[in-house]
Amino acid sequence: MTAVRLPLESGRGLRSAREVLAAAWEWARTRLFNSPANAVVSLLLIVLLAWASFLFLRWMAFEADWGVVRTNRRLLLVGRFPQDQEWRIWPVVYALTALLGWTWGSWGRVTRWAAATMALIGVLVLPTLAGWGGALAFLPAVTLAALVHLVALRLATRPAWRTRVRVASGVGWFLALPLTLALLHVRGGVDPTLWGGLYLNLVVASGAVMGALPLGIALALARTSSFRALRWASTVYVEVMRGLPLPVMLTLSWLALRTFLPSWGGLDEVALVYRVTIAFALFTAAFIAEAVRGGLNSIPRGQREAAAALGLQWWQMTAYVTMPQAIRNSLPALAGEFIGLFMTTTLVAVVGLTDMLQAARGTTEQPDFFGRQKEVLLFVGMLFWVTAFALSRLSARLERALAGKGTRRA
Amino acid sequence: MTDATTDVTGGAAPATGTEAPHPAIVCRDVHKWYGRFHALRGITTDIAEGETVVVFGPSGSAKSTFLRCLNRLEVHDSGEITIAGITLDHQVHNLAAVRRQVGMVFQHFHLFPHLTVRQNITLAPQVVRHMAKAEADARALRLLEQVGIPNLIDMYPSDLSGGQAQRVAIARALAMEPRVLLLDEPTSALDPESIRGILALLGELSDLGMTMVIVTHEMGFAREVADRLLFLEEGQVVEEGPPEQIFGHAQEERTRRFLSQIL
Repeated sequence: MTAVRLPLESGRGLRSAREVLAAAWEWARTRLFNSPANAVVSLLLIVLLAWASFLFLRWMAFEADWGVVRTNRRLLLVGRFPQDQEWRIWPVVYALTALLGWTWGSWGRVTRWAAATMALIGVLVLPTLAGWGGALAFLPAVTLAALVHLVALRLATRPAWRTRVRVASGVGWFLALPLTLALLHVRGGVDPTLWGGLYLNLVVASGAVMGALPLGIALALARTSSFRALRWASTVYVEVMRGLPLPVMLTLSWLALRTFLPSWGGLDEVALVYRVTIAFALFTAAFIAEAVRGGLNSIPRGQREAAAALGLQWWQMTAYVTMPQAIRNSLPALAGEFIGLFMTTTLVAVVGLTDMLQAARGTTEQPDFFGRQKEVLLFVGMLFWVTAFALSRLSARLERALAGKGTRRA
Repeated sequence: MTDATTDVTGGAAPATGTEAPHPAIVCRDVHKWYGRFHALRGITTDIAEGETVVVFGPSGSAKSTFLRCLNRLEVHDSGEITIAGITLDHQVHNLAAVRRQVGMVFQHFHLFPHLTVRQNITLAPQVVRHMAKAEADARALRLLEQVGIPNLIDMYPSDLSGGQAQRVAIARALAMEPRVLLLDEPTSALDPESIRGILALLGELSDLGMTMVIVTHEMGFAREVADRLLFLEEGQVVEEGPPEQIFGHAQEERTRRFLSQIL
């Protein structure tokens, strides 16, 4: 890391502009221009980058018209959700931002780079594009998240509290979805066909994760079990699910109940959102099963023998010895699956639901904003990116925290 | 029965010399095949409460297989093994009962890398024996003091040296208060200094009356600590007897030849 660090960060405090410039030049000379070939390549890349950035920024500043985003901000975030029902959403926003802050604090500090990037995009760029009026509404939530983050960070430094703080974050995430759904349904509720925008993406994705994770773990255990029937069933499931295109699954979740599946207890009356979420969960479970199976297979045989020799039964061994290690080993793959799942929730459009991407497409049909898809798509893309980036950093933190490394030696 | 004895062996009878009326382990004509390979060829031996038995022999003589059959990490194909009165068979509750009576220490420690030293030791007492956390913690600390590394209680296994890891592994096995401790080449993965430390610790355990079966190549240790030696070759007990007999006047030509090669 130190090799690529600019000399201005060397911790010797502020220096004169001339010194900084000299140091920067020294850094560039030794690293970018240290041989003729390197100099040519560096120069070429710098020119290319500068040119691309110039084109992009010029478009952003002079040609792009962000009015389309400002006007449709609400549509992108929550779709056609009734305005007078927004009290069902705000508590969730607060809970989620606070949870994010808490989780991040309890598993370790946010790195400077990640915080800076997210602040730049999430707190500066997006609100600027979407209009500050609406962004101010999120300010209390962001402040709350920052405060909670600091509290968790402080608490987690005490060994006695660290576990409790972490468990609390896990429990929080577990309760987030039930809370969200409860709020959407209490006191008359809001018709699920009206759920939309980014909120719909989040609800479907988190619902699918909650379903897919336990199912995927169960499938992985079945696939590594010593019972042949279980192994077979799991293998068949995984192979079938992985082989089906997701849009087919989604369409089937829409049609199948009407045509060839029995409608147990009014199953065909279940809202489309739920059926689609189930389809996502069933689909993702297959991939999670493979990731976890990889994690299970990477555990040395000695671990199981040691656990067995201590008298642990199969499920005790699984719960305390093998599964924690398997999850840890497959965490990068799992994070990849979850981020991928979040992105693919845009496919709910296949069955006619209006998620953020679909809402964005809709805006371009408004006469005022013909030909403004670029702006909307860029905005939507950035929103997705920020969310995915936060997830990815979080999983990296978790991975390090679970690595079972102490302090004495690396 | 002294206090020190109850401390580690959890009520097991102390060493009673040679007359030992109540064998901890009984093996009758134990056979084990790996496919067509006949690994154990009829092992018959008794191991008394409080006895320290060293199993030695050339590599490939199925020493480890024999040891692993004693807590059913390997399943023997015929013959009879009885541990503390429990017969090792296909009955699940017998298996669970035997695993509670028999502790095991491995060549490569097999500590749980995602748990701290404390958690490694307290996991089984809490989960298998439903011991309260405070009690398990107190026991962990006491055992770590006994094996000489109480200051490492909150370390992770990746922070430990080989010798320290093996001490933790021994403490982890002792935390279940086993009647019998099986040790599968406990010093083979260690540096010479750690080997001395671990062997000294095993000597102390032996003095405290722990019933131990140790597979090892440390013949100096065997001569000093073992009550009895078992020489295994090609899955058979070629010769067994106290150290004076094995090292002084071995009956079998094969024993003498093997000892002359390694001593």
